[in-house]
Amino acid sequence: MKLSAKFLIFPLSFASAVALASGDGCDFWCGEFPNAYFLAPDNDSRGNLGLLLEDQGVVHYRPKAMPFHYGEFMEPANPAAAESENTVTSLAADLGVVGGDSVASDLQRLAASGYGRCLTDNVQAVEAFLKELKNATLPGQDGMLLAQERLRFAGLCEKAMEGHQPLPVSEAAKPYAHYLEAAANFYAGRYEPALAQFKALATDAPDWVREASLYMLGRVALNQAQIRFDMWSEPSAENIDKAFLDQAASAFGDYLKTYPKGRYAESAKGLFRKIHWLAADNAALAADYQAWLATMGNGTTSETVLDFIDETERKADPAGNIVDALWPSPVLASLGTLASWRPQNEGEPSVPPVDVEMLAAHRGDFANAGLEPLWSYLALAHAFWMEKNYPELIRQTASERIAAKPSNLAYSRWVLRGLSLMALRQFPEAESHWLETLKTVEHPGQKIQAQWLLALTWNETGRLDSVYAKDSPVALPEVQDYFIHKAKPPLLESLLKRDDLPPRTKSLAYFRLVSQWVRHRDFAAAELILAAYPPTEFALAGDTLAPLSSEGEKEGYTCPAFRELLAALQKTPDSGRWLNCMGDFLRTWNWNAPAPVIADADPVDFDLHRWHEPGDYGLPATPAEDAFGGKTYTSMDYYRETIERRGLARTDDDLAYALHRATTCFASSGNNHCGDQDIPKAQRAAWFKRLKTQYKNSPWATGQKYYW
Amino acid sequence: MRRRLRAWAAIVLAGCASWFGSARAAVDYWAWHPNVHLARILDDAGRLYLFEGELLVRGGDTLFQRRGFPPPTASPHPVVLVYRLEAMEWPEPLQRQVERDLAAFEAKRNQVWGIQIDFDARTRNLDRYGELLGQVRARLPARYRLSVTGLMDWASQGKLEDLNALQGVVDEIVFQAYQGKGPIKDHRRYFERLFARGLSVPFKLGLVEHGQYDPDALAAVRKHPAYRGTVIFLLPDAKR
Repeated sequence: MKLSAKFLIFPLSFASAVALASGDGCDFWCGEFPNAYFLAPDNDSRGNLGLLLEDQGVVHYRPKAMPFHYGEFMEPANPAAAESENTVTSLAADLGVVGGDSVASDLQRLAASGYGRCLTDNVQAVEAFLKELKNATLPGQDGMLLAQERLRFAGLCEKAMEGHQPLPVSEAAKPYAHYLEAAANFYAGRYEPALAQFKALATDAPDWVREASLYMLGRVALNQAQIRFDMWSEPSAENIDKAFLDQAASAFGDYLKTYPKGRYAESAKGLFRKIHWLAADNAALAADYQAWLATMGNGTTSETVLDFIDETERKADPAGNIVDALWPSPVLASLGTLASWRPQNEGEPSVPPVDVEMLAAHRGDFANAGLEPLWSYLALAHAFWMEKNYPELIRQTASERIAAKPSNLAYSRWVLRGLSLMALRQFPEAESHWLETLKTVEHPGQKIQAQWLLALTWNETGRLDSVYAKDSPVALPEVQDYFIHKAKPPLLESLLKRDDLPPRTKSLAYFRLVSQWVRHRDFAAAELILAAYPPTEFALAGDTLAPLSSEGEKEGYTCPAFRELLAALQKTPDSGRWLNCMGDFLRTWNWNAPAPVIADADPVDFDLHRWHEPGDYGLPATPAEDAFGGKTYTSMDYYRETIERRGLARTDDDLAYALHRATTCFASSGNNHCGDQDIPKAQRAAWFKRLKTQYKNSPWATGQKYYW
Repeated sequence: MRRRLRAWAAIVLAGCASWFGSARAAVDYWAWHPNVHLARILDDAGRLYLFEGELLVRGGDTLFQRRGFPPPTASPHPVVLVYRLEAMEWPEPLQRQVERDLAAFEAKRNQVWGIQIDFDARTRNLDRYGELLGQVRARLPARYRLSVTGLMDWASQGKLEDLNALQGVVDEIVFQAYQGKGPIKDHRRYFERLFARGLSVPFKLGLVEHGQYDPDALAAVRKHPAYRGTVIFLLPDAKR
């Protein structure tokens, strides 16, 4: 494990009470949007940011499936922290600190990072101080004593002043000793004495101490501004002391004026972000982010990138805030603009969509930042997502061609062109468009996205067989598995005969066929599949396939094994018992609920594997068509049939059991657990009454105390 | 979320937890996303499970990424520090990090219950995960307790002996019955299976705030002898 490289890039900028760099860390639990591989409103705003960062050469994605995750770019951490540890150990030895064990145990405390202001009490800070001591060539044992003292309070934070003793050093070394005492006071949260000491040292001390103390004046004031602020609240006039905040800004300003390229210049600049955030100066904050972004490129560490993504998500919240305050950062404003075009869910608060006039008004901001192509994409995207002016979009992109290595921005334009062809139902042209894309582009993300769009195009025209063809350009198993739930029975049956398909794809097709024929009450069709292909030839995760080998019920109301039940229902479709047994089968295996898109998908991965449907791309959603045709039946249908249908072969026990089951389907909240039928309470009461009077001696009646 | 709601109507879990009045324990809360507002939880809430950071695996290397919440001052609620693991590992620097975090929370006069480990151990790896948790437990000072999150899959498909072997190693398992911003798909079925199994290790149910859960299935789980309460996963404030 290595320490985060952010300590090196902005060694002191995350220093105050709330670590600015924290992300949500719960991408999936907190409802992240799945990302397509082109800039789109329905993407997570961090996914869109990732695509723009890739164009800037900051990150590189190599997705293996869609949706892709914005954090998938990470490379190994920077090993610099471990190097610093070694340097500190040898510096301490050079200065005469004896007892390597004690140095090692002090450094151990710094292997872990602190919170807030104590984040900067790290190994790099100790290294910098020890280096300075070595350069200062102090008399006698002064260097050793000072190094020992710095190591003593390393990582102690609130407890830094416990055990502090004034150091018996020479006059020449006094400023260093006072500096250490001020630093320990600062970490211990004793701001007033720290301030007084740093103030004195900032005017009269050796160079290094003077510079560090001047910078620390800003740090102290910034912490004083937040004394009443903690995790429970957003910054506001009540919990942020504006006077101290101004003082911090002016102290960092002084520092930068005196030391424009000083040791702490980057940190001081970074802390203005914190000041702007605490002051709720959103425009200044956005400008800070744009400036930070401009410094990134090839070679920026992965952790800095991740910090940037997480911090902007938290502090600027481009997807949640109105875009107005974001324009000083055209990139963040673009994320907000796209998010403002998301389809609005009823009842959820929303931000007003960015319109053409607003875009036009800020064209200059983009041009000034060298981001004219991004602005052009937004204008084009507005025509697609908001105006739905597909002919115009096709006209505007008429001269564009796809390159082997297009930028994500150019690729996104190209995708909008193809989607416009689909929206105009020019499917042959759309098909050629995606086929050409697949022949040309090299980036795996762009390739997979094109495979998916080609598959959607084929699905729209009833040509799903092309997805599974032997030489299909849609070769990704994840895409093929997805479309199983849309395929018609003859196509699914043809897949069972194929030896070249992955076993999972075939198993999904098999399960789909059997389970859907059963749900559609075509037991003969289900039986034909089971007879031709035994369940043992297939495998799916968990107990997905278990119902096909179920043994039935041997106690209480007995029912035959699944295969026998199918045969029995074909032979005597009018048997109340077999109808009840099918009701029980569907109920036991939860086949009353809508079938999942991928039968054995791990529910934990559910959102991560949610591919975009045409509706997510702003296209008219295809009406959901039942590939098996006709009605699906639930347990409630079967129990009711036993109760209500005339001419059925049923015993009193069958009827009493059906009444008991139908009534119990509503236990104990009154919601139907056996289907989606709305059964009036009076009907439930009538079932109960009939059970308790007509069949009062049946065991199903004696156990039934209530109805719901 | 655009997920379709089940036809059976269901109760809505709000921040207000009076619905759980008859449960055996106070309702606890997870604060994971930094934009949750802890001010909206009840004064009589139980523990706060605060996300503190995660062990990431990048390019074959592991690194600790700080997340979440700095220590409050004298929180009225006992706190549990939560660490998410991407790898089934407990490296030395992470142990140090946890020790430093525990000290930092106590320095600000908080009552620290212990730590919680969040790792998506697949069902088939439960026995190995149990071993790792044993090592974590051994290095945790005795005054702290150990909680783990569990997948609903464990409850229905994990080997019962693997799960019950966690007793004595962990003080509780909190089963996460949510995904995204909603209840986990088929939660009713999971709850029924959970209720039917002879779990002996104390467990809690992790529910998502505002989640629409089937009240009958919840009621069944609450009757389980090892059930110890509910932890509500707070959602970020919906500014959007």
